[in-house]
Amino acid sequence: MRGRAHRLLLPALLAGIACGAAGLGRGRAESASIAIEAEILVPPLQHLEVTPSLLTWPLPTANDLEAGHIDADQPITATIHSNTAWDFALRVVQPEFRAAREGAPPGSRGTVPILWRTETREFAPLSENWVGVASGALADGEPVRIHLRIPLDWAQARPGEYAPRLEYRLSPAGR
Amino acid sequence: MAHRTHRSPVLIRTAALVMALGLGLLPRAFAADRAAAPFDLAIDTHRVLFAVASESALDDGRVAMDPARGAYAVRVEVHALDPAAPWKLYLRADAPTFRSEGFGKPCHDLRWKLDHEGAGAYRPVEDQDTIVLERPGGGAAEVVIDLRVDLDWSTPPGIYGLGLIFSLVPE
Repeated sequence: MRGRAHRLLLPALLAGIACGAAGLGRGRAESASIAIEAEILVPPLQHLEVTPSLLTWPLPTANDLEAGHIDADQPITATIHSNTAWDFALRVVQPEFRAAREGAPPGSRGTVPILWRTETREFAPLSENWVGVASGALADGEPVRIHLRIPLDWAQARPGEYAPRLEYRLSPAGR
Repeated sequence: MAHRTHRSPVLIRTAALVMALGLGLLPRAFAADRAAAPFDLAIDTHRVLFAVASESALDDGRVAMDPARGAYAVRVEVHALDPAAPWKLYLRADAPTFRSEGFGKPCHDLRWKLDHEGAGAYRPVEDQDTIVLERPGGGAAEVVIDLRVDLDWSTPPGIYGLGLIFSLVPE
């Protein structure tokens, strides 16, 4: 009787321990986890570079006056960086020139229009009011080239020094 | 014969009781031990706030935290109560993209490296477990981690958040 009991009890005990150990194995395989949050704020950002900073025109010749205009030596290149939709605008702050002819009273002035165009537009007059030059979505170094021209003729091109100051504005679209 | 049929139920009940002990009590005993072991995972912050992105950051293409050795984003401590038990520490993002308004910035734009590693060691954070450190020989460890967000001028304005999950898995 006692031997029979042992034959039954021993396998039962072993089975129980085996199952218990299996349960423990599952427990050891459980992982511990911790969650954190990484966060960054990206504000609306824009950056504008304009070259050259000093734009020069060649000295006008008779041929230029015959042709009726003189163009700047090179286009202005505005390089636009923007992580939001953008508008680029341009205006002339001082569209006057100071007469340099001998005998002219100090402060004698006259106006000469400046014309502008981009690669895709015809020449149009520039004024003191902002004029939209280009716009776009996101931009990573997108160039906008602006060609400038001054109309000249024998009747209106008076001797003098003309030094307009161009202003550029890069802003989020619609503002 | 009648004697044997009378005793068999007793033996069976006894065997069942012993097996129940094995199934019920032994695992519970081990579970009590498991509650205190084998590992404890601790972290020194629950929120990593990067510096606000600047124009230069968009030019550089990244905001790091923190590029200097000795400064770091997260420190994870593994306390091993069983010094011989091997483990692996994993990291994963809780989503394939950052949480943001309308722009699905992929989670692998967040990169990580161990603090003692060079800047070239940054690895992308994936939305699947990636091994950060493993200790086949077991033991405690302090894991210091740098984080970096890759961005550029094509990254629209917004707040970008991503959950990171560190998991310690006993082997």
